[in-house]
Amino acid sequence: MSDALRDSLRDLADQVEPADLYDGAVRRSRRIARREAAVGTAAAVVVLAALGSGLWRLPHGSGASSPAAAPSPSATAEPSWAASVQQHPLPSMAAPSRTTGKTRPPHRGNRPQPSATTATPLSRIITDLPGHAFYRAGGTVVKLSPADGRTRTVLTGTTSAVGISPDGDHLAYVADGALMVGPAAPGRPAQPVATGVTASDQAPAWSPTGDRLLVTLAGPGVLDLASREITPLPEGLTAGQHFRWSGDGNKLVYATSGCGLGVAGSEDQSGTAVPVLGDTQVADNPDGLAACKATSVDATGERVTVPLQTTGEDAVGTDTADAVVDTATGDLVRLPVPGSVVGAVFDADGNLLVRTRDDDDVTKLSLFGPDNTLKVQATEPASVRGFDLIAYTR
Amino acid sequence: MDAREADYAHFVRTRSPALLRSAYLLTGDQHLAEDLVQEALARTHRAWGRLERPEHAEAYCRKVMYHAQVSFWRRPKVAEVLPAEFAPDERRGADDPAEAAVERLLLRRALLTLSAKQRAVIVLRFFEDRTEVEAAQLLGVSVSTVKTQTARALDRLRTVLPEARMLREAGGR
Repeated sequence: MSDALRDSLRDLADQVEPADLYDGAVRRSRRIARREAAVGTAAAVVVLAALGSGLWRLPHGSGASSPAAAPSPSATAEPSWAASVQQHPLPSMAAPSRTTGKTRPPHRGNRPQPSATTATPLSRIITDLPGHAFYRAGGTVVKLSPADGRTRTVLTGTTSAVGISPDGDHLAYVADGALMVGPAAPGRPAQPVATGVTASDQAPAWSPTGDRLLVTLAGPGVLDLASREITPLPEGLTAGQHFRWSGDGNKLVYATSGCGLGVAGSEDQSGTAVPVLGDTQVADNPDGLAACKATSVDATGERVTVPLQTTGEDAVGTDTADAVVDTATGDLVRLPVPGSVVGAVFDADGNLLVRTRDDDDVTKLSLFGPDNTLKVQATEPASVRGFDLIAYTR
Repeated sequence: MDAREADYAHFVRTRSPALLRSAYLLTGDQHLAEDLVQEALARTHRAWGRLERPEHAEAYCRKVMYHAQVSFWRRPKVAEVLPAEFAPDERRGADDPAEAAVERLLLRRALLTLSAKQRAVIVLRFFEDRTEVEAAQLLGVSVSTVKTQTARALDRLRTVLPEARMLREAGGR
């Protein structure tokens, strides 16, 4: 062995002077956060100039679906993972700018945009925020209902990833290999609905209609809550992880083992790779961006929220996203909000809730509607300080 | 400062010395080492919420640090060194009390002639005592790449430091 080389290296390393790097690291972290929030696409710049122009359009009326708060007896198993949502057709999701083929579009580059414009909200009152936001810290999940200002603990002591139903009334998690489903309400026990389930690579993901859960057993599959039947995903998708449904139920967005993203339609036997993210070619991914998890998808599968990472990292820990990715181009969507993005999540209707924190440590919630209007931007209640945003529901 | 931030501050202040030592070998310069560690710590701060245990944080931070230094899409920052600086030091002798200091200086300069990846494998294998498998996982390359880079790095060091005692037995595990 080369003990002499080891000794020499240690001797050389001893020459470095100690330094307190805390303040500098935190400042740089905030700069990184601001840069990531400012990174965007040409399309997003148009969004800044004309919100609601259509380039960042989320389909109107996607809330026309009627999510089943309770398992629907009519939702029996069919051979497609999208079978249940096919019973509830939604308005057209056609988007002119969408690239649907497998040909990679040219990468426009993830470069910071010169504009730092932020949108003006219709309301700055937190009680105008409809729906419910779910947060997590450790094994505790809380439900914030801004309308009445209440924050309720709905789950404690879990070590599993947790899925929240689109209506916010139910949650699903894994305990000792059993998939547990129960009310998202204090003190209401969950019931086991399946066994042999793991949650490390796949949080239980609710279908937009609330009657199915995408879970991982031996491989990823869709569990029908009424019939308890499980439909495995096609072979070409079994290598995917962290699947999430689009709000119309017609797309799945998922992470690949290389910390890239993929998109699959309901009839597809395999997915289409999202460009850029996870790509190790410098020409295609100059910033070394990666996404090891998908956490929520917009109404049509055009955009997905992810914890933004760099190539070479692993998917660990939280389901909290801090970036929105265009699934056609792999570009990061610029969010017209102030401060650093510390949480972002779509609901099944295409609303996007963004959580930001400024240099004074003030945390705000911004809700963008399906028409891209900034509906509400207000200071977040202190009751969820220290928690991570994991879901937004009706 | 909330509990999470306090945990991060504790992590930074307890682990920075060790990180700086590795970074100094990677960059050959105090300020560049601080810059590299600060970058890794900043990225770790960004990811702090999803790093569930302190050992995860250190592993994450080291991985970011090595990737930041060897990633081909970033221009590695290292101290500059000129070939002429490798001229043999005639004043050096076996009994010279300054020999250790001279060898240290020569080793630092020799390390800087390696590629970023070669320097990384030398630091990982012979300073951090990582196995080839661990080094490969940390750098995101194959084990054979680690073996190849290690062999080439040692050859290079032997070329630029032909008389260095430290390299006579160096081979790897």
